[in-house]
Amino acid sequence: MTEKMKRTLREAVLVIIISLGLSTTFPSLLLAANNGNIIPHPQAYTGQLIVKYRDSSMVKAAAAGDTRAKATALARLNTLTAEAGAKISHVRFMSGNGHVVKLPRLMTIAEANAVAGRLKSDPNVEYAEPDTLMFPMLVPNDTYYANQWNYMSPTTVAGGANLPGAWDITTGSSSIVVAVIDTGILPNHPDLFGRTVQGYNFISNAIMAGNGVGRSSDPTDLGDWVTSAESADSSSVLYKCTEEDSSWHGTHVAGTIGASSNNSEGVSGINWVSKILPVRVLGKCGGYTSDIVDGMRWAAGLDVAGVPANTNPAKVLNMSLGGSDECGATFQGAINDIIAAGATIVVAAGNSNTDVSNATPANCTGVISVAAVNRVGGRAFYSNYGTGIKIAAPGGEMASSTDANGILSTLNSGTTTASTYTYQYYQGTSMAAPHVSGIASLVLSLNPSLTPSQVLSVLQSTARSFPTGTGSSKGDCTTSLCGAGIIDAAAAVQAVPAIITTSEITGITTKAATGGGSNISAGSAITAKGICWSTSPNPTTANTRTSNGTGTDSFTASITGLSPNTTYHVRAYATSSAGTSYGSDFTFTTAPSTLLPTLTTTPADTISTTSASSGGIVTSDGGSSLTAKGICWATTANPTTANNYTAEGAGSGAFTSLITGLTANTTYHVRAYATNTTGTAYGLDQNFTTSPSSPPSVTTASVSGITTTSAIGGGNVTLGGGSTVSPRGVCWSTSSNPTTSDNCSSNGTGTSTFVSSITGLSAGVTYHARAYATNSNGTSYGNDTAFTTLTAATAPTIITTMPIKSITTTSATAGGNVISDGGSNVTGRGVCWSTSINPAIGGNCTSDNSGTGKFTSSITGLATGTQYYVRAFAMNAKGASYGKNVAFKTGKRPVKFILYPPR
Amino acid sequence: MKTHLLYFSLLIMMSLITSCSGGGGGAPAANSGGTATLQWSTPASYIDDGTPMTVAGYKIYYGTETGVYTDVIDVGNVNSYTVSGLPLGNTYFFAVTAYDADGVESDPTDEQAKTL
Amino acid sequence: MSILPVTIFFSLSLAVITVSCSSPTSAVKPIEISQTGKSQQTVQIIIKFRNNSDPSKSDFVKELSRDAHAPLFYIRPMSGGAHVFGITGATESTAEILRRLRTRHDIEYVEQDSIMQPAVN
Repeated sequence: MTEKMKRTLREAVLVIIISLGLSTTFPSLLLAANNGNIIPHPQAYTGQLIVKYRDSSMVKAAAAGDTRAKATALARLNTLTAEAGAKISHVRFMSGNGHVVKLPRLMTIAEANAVAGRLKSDPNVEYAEPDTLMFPMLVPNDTYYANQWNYMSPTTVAGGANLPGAWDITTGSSSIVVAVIDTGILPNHPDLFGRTVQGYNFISNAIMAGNGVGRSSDPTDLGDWVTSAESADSSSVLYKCTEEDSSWHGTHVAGTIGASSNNSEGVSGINWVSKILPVRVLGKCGGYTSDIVDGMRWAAGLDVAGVPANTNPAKVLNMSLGGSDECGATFQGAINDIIAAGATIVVAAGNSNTDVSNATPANCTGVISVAAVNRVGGRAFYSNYGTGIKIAAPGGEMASSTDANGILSTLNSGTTTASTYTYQYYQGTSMAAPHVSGIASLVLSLNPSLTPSQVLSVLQSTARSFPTGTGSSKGDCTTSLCGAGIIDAAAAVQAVPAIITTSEITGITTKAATGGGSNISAGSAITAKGICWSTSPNPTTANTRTSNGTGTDSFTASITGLSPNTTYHVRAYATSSAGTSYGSDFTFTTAPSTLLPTLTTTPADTISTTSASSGGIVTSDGGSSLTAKGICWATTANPTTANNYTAEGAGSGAFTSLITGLTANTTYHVRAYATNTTGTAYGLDQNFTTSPSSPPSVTTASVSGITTTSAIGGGNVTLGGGSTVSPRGVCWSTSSNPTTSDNCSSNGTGTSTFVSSITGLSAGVTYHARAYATNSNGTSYGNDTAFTTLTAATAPTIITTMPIKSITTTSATAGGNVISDGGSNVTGRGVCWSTSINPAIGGNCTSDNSGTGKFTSSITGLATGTQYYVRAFAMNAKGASYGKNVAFKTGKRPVKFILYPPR
Repeated sequence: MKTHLLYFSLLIMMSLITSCSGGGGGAPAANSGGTATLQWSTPASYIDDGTPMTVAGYKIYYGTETGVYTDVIDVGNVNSYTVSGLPLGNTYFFAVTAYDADGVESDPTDEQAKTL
Repeated sequence: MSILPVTIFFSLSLAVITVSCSSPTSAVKPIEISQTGKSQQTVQIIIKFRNNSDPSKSDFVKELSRDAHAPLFYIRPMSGGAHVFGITGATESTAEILRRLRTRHDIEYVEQDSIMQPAVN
């Protein structure tokens, strides 16, 4: 550029700046910026009112989700609008009572109160009051701030990134570093001085680096000019490169991100506090991918061989560079590594007015690709576009090299090497990307724990809708062309979720501890904070928690109601309008309880000569689990578990124990005991005396299994009486109450039931039996029981039936009736006949089965006209019996006749 | 003279007693227990071939269980008889057979009963 | 008053210059094959090997050159485990050289070390 041109340029710039300054409608108010702390100005503004109705039920129902109530409440806004004389629109329903409504524009408190007063004339309205007080947005005092339309609020400039509202909340944090991966930087520019940390020059080619050596620790931009001679030199690495003056590109980009702000000179940057890491990868003719990728990894704190480690790893990498290509494995691999390390990568979409899918590394997965909008929020004519764009930001649109519709930032006037430091307008997606990097660094300044995808989510969810009808040469932006919307710094920082650090747990006792929270920050007011704890990991506000007020002040809190010797998890929490965030999960274990259990001894009862029953009631486990309990006893006072004891299991409560094997007529002491992790405790000493010894007690069992000569008896020795029971058994006799002088059995010893065999008896005789038991104290008997042996068997009793029937010349029918088998089974029966009296077995006889009862038999082969005698017979093991003789004569018999009923 | 008269009265009384007990169908021997007077028809032929027969006499069988007869009285050739001296409080069951001159008995009649 | 026409003239000229100077962001410089058929330009390529071979060894580079039908020389290792090679005076296109190298089983990926430009208009 010639001197004359420079002068003209300066004059033109001056004209533009002055006119811009005059046209500014925004009042410039001086405020002190103090690392992000706001000192409120007396003149406050508001954009919202809260309206409270006399009848709160409808708003409450609307807040709870009742669709009819919602519709009714929204319809009321028409009435409010008419009453206010200004458009009143809906913001949200408050669960408490109020309806938050939006005023048509930002107003002073006086103006807002006037509107509220008009609403109060509505009989349904109890009162209306201004909602969120917004203090005048922080306006930096940099000389050319007014030229930076790209930072302004959308109420002033449709394409503005809305920084002032963001600066009310944060101007950046010194813990965040933003890397500018670019042509390097001019560190001595007055508006960049002191804003950087040690960077590096990754340009390997000495010519392209312009320093004759290639890589070096000095990231100073040495100028990227290419002369026509260099471009024509076929032996030069710059052969066929585009002839151009030095761009000082990295300096311009760095100025947007973090120029010295509010320093009464130059321009403002987006982040006033965080430092810039200059990473030089672009030189004469551009930069190799291999150098760029090394520079990216180094910027994020990853190892690069041969390069000293970066002691200031960046959380945001700005890449206002690219080429027409698909995303290769080299770029994607580096991007994946850097995202895994937790750094956000912002890439300019490219200036070819083409689909971003062919622009790399903007088209790589995981980066935030940025398209450019102009002053009116339409698509800048050069900007790449497409569904691969994540978000849009001001990139400027210039009709000339001095057009103030570009992006103003730090620069140098040198066409080759650096000379005068200046401020100049540039346009490009190179200028849009650092807006996103700068605002991302404000977001991370509030919450450095956010992942790259969380940062993107905050930016996209708060991006402003694209204005329509902008009249831009390449048309309006849409969400298909320019990403989620125009980046909105004020909305983004307000949406940053809170971050809180869980304080170390101290003062741990058996049932309490002290915790707290610190290092709280968020993009919007903290409305609740405290700590929450549980025995499970990662407790939430659904678990037991404290409430420790609002705001970002650190706090301590008491953890109470704990159980001894138990491991708990604790997290601090903080709630803002963006949700509830938690600090790290800390664990601690409460101290073990040092208390012993408490218990009582149950007095002994059911005392016998050798046993007793006792027990205990454990009233407290002393704070730790019982591992054992029971009773212990001895003949001496205060027995312990070193003496005899029972074990009744773990756990609290009542229990009983049986003590056995005692000596009769002896005094014993008994105490209940219970053991926990601290030790063993005892109940009070109780004593008892066992019964004096006595003869045993025995009962007689009933007699069974009676035969003609034997029976089964038995007994039950119920009490031993304090000495060994021996012998025992059953005595029997034909006289009542038999004793051990009579016949007796001997059936074992001791206290139990026994069975006895009673033998040597006579049939059909009544006997008496008694059980007996003997110990050293004498012999006892059970009750006398009588029984009768079975009678011995005899031969059966039989009758010959008469008359003889069906008499013919040669046959007849006789029969018998076995009345009794005489105690032995009838094995045979029938009739015998003969012409002589007393026919008997051995002669003519029939056989008619066996058993008792009636039978008939046919007699055949008789001689006619002959007198016969018939006798029925029956025999058993005891012998044969006969019935009486019945005589008959064979021959023709008279017919049967009639017997009339007797009188 | 008076002694002779006494002996003579005694003798006549004894013959009367004797003659009473020797006769068939006479007055009942004693008056203890109950009685049952039975009547029956007269068979006139043999069942074997239906040829005529002449009854020589009847036997009355009786007992206290149906079908089981423990006593028998040969009453001669009469068509009715009164059985006496039956212990009261029982039911008696009766059946009668007829015999001819050869002494061959018929089958018993159907049983009749009387409760005393 | 004299400033105005000058301003307008230079504004317009600068606008023209700006527009004409604005280079597209595509910056892949294709190999210029000169009339003699041999290019003197050096092309850089990035190769990532599957195993941890040491590609700086000259025998290895000779072998790569043979496979590529092009004279490769080793430049330096990169972060991420890849390596930068240079090719000077290739007789064939870079695309063809890359295609040949991709047939090697020990190469995970190979691509041109493209030159990127600032995205300013």
